[in-house]
Amino acid sequence: MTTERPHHRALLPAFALLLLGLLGAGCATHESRRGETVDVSKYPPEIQEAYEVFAVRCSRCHTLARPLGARISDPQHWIRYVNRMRLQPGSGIDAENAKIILRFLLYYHGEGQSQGGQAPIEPAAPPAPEPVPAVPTVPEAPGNGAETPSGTPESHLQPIERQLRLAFEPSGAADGRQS
Amino acid sequence: MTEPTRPDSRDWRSPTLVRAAVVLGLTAAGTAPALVHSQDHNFAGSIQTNYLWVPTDTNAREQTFDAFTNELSLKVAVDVSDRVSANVKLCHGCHGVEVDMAFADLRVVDELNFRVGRFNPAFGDFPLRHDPANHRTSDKPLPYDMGRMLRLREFNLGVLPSPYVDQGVEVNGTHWFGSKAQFDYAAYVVGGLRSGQDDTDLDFIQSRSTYYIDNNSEPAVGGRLAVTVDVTDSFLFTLGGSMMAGHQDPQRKRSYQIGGVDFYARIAIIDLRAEYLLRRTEMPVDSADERFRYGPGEDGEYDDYFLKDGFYIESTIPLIDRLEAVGRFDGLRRRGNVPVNTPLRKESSVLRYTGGVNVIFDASVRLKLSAEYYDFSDFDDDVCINTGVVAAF
Repeated sequence: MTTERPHHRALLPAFALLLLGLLGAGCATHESRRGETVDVSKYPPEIQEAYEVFAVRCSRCHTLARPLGARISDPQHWIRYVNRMRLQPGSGIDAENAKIILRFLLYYHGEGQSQGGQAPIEPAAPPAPEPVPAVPTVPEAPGNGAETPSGTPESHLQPIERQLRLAFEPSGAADGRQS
Repeated sequence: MTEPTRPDSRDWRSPTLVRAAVVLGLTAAGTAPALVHSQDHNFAGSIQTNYLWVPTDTNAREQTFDAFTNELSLKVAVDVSDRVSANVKLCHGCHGVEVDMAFADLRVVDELNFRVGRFNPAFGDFPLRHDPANHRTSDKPLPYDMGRMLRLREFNLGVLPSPYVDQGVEVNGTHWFGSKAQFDYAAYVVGGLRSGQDDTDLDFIQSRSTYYIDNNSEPAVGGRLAVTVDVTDSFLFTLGGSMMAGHQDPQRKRSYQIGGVDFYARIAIIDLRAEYLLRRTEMPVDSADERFRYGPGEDGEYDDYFLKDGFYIESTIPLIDRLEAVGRFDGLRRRGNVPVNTPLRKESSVLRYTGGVNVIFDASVRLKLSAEYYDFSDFDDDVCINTGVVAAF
């Protein structure tokens, strides 16, 4: 018969100390970026803020490589995609956060495309997804006016904000709802 | 006790189902867009190759699947409309090619969604991240282990080996209370876990190799409740509870019940996860004198069940750019009478200490390194080194 071997209880406090050390190191490097993420320092301030929400919420279940590497160019596709993620258990993504995350993703993928010589993501004609609860209108970004030169990061914000309004505000969504 | 075996291509008994799933996946990925313009398709997958080295055991193949293993997953998600989506996922792993997902979601409102098909029934936090690319270690926490733990045959894997996939119907939903609290719920009816008529534990291979048909003409039930509190933009936590119950044997004489609680916290860039699972499994007690190692209790009766529980605490911490650390402490315990042919005792356990790092080469490719120390109650302790590369696409 097998004989009992006591567990090595001394390992537990040692391991706990190691974990605490790692936690401390993690807190100390709070500003560090995960290697899979992007440098957003040259993005408009509202996109940088949106990125923070995106990074915290979306990395709960999967690496950020998934949405960053997704080859999706249709804004409507992104809206449905994020809406599906919003409904995942424990996503922590409410309607407002979904809108913020979409703002970053639409900008990021539009920016990437424009750097490749293509046009940024333009709002496609509705249909929009099912309307989610109304959220406050996002303030217009600085430098987001008509005078913004085409092709600059700020110039990409206009169609994105228009797309988000269509998707999230009840009137806009109702106008473009699928039959 | 049912013993897991090394993969054998002859175990695969549903080639027709695989072909059907491949055809469905290819159809969804390739031909449907031309037919239905409004559909959105998203193809994703991952490949994980791992080398498991047990420096303290030169014959580690006798207690685990050591050396190289490779896992592949291919998934197609289709948003058919705003209310209907479909997911098909194929996996290649220990048991060959399997259909890991083939379901449709029919969403009435956020609070009411019907999931029909083959899916991961809602249980616990870990299975929410079902793809190997989503985990920082090559192996799973002991309560969810499915073949990478040492002494896997003696313990017959974890409490609920993950991914647990089954076919049936799940009703789930989510509701936000304001912008701070998310309430998730799910209830399902599925085929259930399985065993042979005389088995003294669940037979997880049955669930993965002959899953097309049920084994006892009776479904199992389960559910999950969880609340997520969004404290600040950089701090949120989830507390959840899950259960499932059913009969495992063909004649529906013996039952199992599994319960679990889970906790997740996101503090700035640090992830903290903890879970506890407990399973009660009934055993056949006919011919008990010959079947079991230990005799009856003071009342002259043999216990007709055993308990298996397990836990894990895990934290993931980004250290510097392209380097993440992961630490995990987990354990597994079995209590109750044991078959005469097992080396376990009435109460046997293992504690495991894991430390590791992830090196992120590219947005989609990471190297997973981890060292594990197994502290067994019944066997010599062992050290295990996992070196894995995972690519997500």
